[in-house]
Amino acid sequence: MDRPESDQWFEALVRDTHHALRSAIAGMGVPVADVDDVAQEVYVDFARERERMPAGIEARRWLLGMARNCSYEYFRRRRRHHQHLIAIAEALAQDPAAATDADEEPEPAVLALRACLGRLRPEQRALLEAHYRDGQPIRELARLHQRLETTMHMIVARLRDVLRRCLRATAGEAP
Amino acid sequence: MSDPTPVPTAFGPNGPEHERELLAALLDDTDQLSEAQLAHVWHQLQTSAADRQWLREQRRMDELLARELDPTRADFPNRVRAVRQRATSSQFLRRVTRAVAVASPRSAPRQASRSLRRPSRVPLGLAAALAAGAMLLTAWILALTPAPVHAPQVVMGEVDAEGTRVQELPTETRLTVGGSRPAVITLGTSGHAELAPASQVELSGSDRGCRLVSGSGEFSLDASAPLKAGAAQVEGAGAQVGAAWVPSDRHGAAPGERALRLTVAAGEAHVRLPHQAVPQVLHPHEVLVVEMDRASGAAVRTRRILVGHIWAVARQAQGLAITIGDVHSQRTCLVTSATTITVEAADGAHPRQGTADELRRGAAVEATVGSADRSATPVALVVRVERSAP
Repeated sequence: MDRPESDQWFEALVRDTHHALRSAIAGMGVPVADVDDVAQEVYVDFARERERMPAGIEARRWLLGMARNCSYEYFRRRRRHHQHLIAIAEALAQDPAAATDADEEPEPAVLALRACLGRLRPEQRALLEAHYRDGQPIRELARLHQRLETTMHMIVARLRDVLRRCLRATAGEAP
Repeated sequence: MSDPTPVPTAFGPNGPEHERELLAALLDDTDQLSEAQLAHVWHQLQTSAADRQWLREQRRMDELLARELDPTRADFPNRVRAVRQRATSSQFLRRVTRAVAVASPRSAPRQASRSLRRPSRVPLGLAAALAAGAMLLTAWILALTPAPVHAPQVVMGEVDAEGTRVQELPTETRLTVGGSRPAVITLGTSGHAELAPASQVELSGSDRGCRLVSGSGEFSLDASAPLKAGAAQVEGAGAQVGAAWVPSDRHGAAPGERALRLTVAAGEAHVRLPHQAVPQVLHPHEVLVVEMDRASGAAVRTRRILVGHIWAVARQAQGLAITIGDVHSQRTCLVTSATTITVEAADGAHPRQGTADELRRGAAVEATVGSADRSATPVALVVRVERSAP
């Protein structure tokens, strides 16, 4: 096995953990557009000061702790309402489930998600593509579909719920 | 953590649907929510484990969908590798050059640092810049024409290198102008800089540049001309302002002319050019290219370029909106069908025509923009590929 200080070890660590790390950062409330930037900061900080990781602790656990600190720092840098955003992130992280959720490996979920997306109606899939692929904000989608913004928020949220249930069902089907 | 603000009475328990509307809005853009609404969300999450679970799952599904549908997010491990390699090579270079500078027999004995010494009086031309206090300026000065390299030296005034008074200036080392007088230093081949007291600079060994870390200065690239005659003065109006000067030969300066490139790290800078009464305002991720007449020092032509890493790519009706920047600041330009995109390696080798699809989040990018009305001006983008394709 590669030594912990080697580049190969670090790159393998990134490959093995980046799905869970990005998911955990999103789970703390960092906007999805900024999740990768915060995750990148975590890995670069980790690489720079690897010796700070106590002996005997699992690197994945250490990274998740760093992700929490970097997420809080991200909110502080935003300045606007940062106290509330940190408080919300702390509330989301307080459940034991928050830590175990991060251990779920989302890579198979990405593959399953493709199948679940394929089961949506074309207009539902088009809505998600407009938002996630083309970057159209909810406000713009609401205007285009002549809906209230709050209604459009809930439509997209329900689609996410549908996909989440589909993923769980798919995971349940797996051997 | 204590309650950020009391729960507003305007938000009562109007049923789970209403409550989750606020939670769902939190997913899209927190800036849209008021302080009172955020406080209400916090209170709701504190009291409902089901809502916490729902929001976490929504967040994670949000991220999963973005990862699946947004092609710019597919190359994350490569992105980390590229960023880390850049940081590693930079740190290594700094360590080596610093070790060489410390080992130099010409280094003077160490003295107490003067970096905190405050000037008792300042030159009139620099007074405004010093008044800005905590400004952080970064400047690179390079000679345009290849010429024998002379070690940068102190011509006038006092300069300390990490607490040691120096005459010959080491590279990659923090240098501080000591005393109450400005210091004049030579820069590589043919440049001069006049630095205000207490200003800090770093000289680059690799590209013979001068990086002004804090304070202020006036810069000239032509040693034969009087110092003030072709000098551009940089003043920062923000808390963190930086500037960079690099050679113009990469950017098509006319033969016989010298050009300066100026960038701002954060905040904004006011650039006063010779023979121009009105200062130009420069924002982060913009480069102001000033081509100057050698004889008169007058600015012949100025151009603006956006340089940085791609922060976001968004499709719009008119084309692609490319946002360049970082977490602190961003600048956006529009890529239309009229835009020419050149893709090349980080060292500028093998440029080729590319497509808008090759714009990736995290890639280094350089965009030449025209006037302030960017939407009406086709841009020429140079995307520098700094990592392997996903």
